[in-house]
Amino acid sequence: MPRNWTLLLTIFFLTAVPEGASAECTGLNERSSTQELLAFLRTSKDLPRERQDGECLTFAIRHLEYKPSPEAEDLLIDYLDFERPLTQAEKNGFMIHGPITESNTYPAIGTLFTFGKSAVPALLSSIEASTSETFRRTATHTLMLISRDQPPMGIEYLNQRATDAEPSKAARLREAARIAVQWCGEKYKKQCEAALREKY
Amino acid sequence: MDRAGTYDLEDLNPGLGGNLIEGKVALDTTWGHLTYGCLTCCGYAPYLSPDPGNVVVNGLLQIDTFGTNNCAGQKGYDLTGYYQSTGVWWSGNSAIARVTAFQGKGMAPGTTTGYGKAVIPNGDGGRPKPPCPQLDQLAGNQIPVVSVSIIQHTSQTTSSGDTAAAEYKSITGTSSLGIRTGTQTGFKACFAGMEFAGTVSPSTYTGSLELRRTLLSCGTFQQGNVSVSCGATPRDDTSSSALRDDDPQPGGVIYDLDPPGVENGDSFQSVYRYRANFSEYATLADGTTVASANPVNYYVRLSCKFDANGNPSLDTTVSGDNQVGSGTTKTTWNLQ
Repeated sequence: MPRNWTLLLTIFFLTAVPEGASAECTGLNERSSTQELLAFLRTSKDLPRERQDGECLTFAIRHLEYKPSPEAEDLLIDYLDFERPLTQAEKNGFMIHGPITESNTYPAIGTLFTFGKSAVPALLSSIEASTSETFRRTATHTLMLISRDQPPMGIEYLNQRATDAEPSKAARLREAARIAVQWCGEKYKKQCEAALREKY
Repeated sequence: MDRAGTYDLEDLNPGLGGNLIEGKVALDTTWGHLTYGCLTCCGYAPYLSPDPGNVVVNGLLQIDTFGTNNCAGQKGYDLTGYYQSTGVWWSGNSAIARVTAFQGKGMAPGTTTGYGKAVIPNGDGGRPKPPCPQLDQLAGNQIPVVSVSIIQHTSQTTSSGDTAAAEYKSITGTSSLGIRTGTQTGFKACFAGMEFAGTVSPSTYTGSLELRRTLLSCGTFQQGNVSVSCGATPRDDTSSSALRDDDPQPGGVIYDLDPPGVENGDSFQSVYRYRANFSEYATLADGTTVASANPVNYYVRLSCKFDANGNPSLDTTVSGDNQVGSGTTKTTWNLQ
């Protein structure tokens, strides 16, 4: 696509929905290519939150499921603390798009989960580097979803990384390991707690 | 300047007008120093891509032809020209998938092999072989043709093979399905716990598949009969991947969990009424819809009130309320 078309499309995406409105995404659709979805995320990344189109961001993030690439991984990690806008019915308590849970309201969690283990190194790097508690929590949740067949592995990833990290980073990783136990489920809770106590 | 070395020469039109022969390299144009090459043949081992090439019944699969360079071992050489001029294509079982030039078509669930042969240069550079032999070379790719048959579970508990079941339990506080109330912290709710199981054929299929959902129509009400917009319909309502199990292995089954209903309401807005019609269907990971026996069309209707402490209970004042069923429901507050 010519460069000026990309620019025009981007301008259209960013102006298609009024600021802050919670409406259907009109700038992207089922025919949007992976490159268009990534371009939209890239362009929106540096905008202030109130100027971001939450509906289209949600659409783009959800439609990148099973489309892993280094760029998609980096962009989605940047959006781990992006919270999708709720519909009026959801604000009133109706579970129209599933329960109002972390994995449902932070859409990048679910999409990075579909990338599988290839996303683990980038998630660990983001957990140790981020100063945002919300971000570290959603990144840790994603890591535990990727490890949901063997949740103690998720704890081990964090502990192992903490052994070689500098003190401030190690502290974040160990805190992440501590909160990760909540995503182990009853079946693996004891194994996760044992992994948490393990010394590296 | 040293210009001696290895040079790649490619015959762009093999078989047309004779064979490419080695030439000379002028190393010194002042004194006329030439050096002779020693041409060896570097052919290609063809392969078909994608392999496996997943396709749905009645779906089309584009098949690309590439080669691995016999000398360098490098993959990704485009062999389209050879296949366009001399290619012959067929299927190992045309009842499962038909294969024609650069294309496969899914006919029935199962796995077969697509074949394509063409006259392609051969040779591994081991010794000089001008002219390069042009050999009939064969490549194949596995073609799984997929179908998914979906059933809905609205009673008993989540399936043991469903890897999303732990997430469902952590949200709702229970593994039980059906119309229920939940009282765990953060999820005081009336909900219809549902699990969809998609049985995949062939059961050995290893790609990712998804059970997706469309919200066909809905009605949401507070204070018994005051309408609250539930947004435009129809629209996509696919569960977060955390509530899905998209991997058919082991066992050849994929799952989707959803607990639609009302959560964390208050006594002032009670009664909350929820009516919705849905359609559940299966897709490949790229979004291609998989032909299943039928998409599952179903409805959910429930009414919920909350006490002063936020604890939920089902409201039964409307006849026929608090049900999940196949087909559709009216989306009015009183179901009339």
